[in-house]
Amino acid sequence: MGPIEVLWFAVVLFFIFVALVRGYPRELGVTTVIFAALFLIHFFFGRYFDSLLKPLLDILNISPTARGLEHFKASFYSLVFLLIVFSGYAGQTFAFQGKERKGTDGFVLNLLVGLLNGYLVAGSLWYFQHAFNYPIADFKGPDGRPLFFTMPLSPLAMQLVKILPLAVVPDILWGALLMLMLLARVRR
Amino acid sequence: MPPTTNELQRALVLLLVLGVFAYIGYRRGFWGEVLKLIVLIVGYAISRPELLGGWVIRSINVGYFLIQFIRGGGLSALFAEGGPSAERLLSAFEATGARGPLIRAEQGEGLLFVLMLLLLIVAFAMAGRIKRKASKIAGLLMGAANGLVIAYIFRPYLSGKPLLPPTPETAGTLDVLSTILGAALDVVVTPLRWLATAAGLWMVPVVIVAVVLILLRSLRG
Repeated sequence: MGPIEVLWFAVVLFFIFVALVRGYPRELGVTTVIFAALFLIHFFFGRYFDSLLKPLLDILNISPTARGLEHFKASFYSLVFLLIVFSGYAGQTFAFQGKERKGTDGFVLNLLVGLLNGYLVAGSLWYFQHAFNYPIADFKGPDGRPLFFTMPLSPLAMQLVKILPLAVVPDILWGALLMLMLLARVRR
Repeated sequence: MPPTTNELQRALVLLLVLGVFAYIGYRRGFWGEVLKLIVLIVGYAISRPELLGGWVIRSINVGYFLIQFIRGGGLSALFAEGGPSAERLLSAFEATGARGPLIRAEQGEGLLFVLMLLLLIVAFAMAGRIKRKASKIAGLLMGAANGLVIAYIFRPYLSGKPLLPPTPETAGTLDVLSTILGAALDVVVTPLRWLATAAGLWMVPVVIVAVVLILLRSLRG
């Protein structure tokens, strides 16, 4: 695989395509779920995860290495986040009521929501890697080349890391955005 | 790295500029904004001596020399009865050369700036007259793009010099004002660099909120 930013762009592109197909009223429901996931992870896990994990490891009598712990944390955060996001797409979705606009306006709005969701999802997954020193980069193929992306980060990636959602948005804003979306949903 | 208050100010001021122009674009429509963008780009090129500005100054000076040459009897010397008169031609050239160029190098930049301003005013007046219908969202985006270009163009002319000499009485107010102005002008070094660097980290949450509000307001019925 190539640099991490290529992977990131690919995920964003994927979300744009999904949004163009599904339309922004439905995608706004996913955005709401993503806000909820980010609030949960940023606010609760960020504060309490370590203090809960330590006694749990003591009880289970497990003493992982520092790198092992980073692997576990990055995987745990990513998995919880993806499960919550997946719930926004599966089954009874959280779609917003109302007719979507057609033509250029509709296209631009679909593009916007796709970009937003892509940025939030891909950016958060990248952040979980960044926060725990890129554990996924440890996975290599039989030829010794990295399976997912190459390290170290390119200059562009180092710029992008600074604007990842969890790096720049305060946790309380995720809560506020979630409330805003819920209010808008209820009003309709 | 947590976003700082300074960055928040930068982001908000720039967003205010973008917001105003985006609103104008939304109200006036896409095609008027396209015209504005074209004139903005041409105006910017004219305002820079290394782009079109040098050529504009040279053209004006050449035109001025031609007029002076004609007024100094150059034409009549060329088409004099019995063929061109070398003596009269020489005196016409001397008279023209003695006057010097209309725009001197040190005046060039100021004049080009005024020329650009005139172009922008004409473009803004013309843009309001275009009634062709187009997508309002496209107008909004084009208006925001114009705001970004304008912020970029005007930055060098407002290079963060203090507006008033600071005195102990006004120091506090001026500090706040100069911080806001300096931050606002600093942030638009180039539109792309602004997007790529961490110059405006607070821009990210502000943009997220703005996108969400646009999307929510766009739902019908």
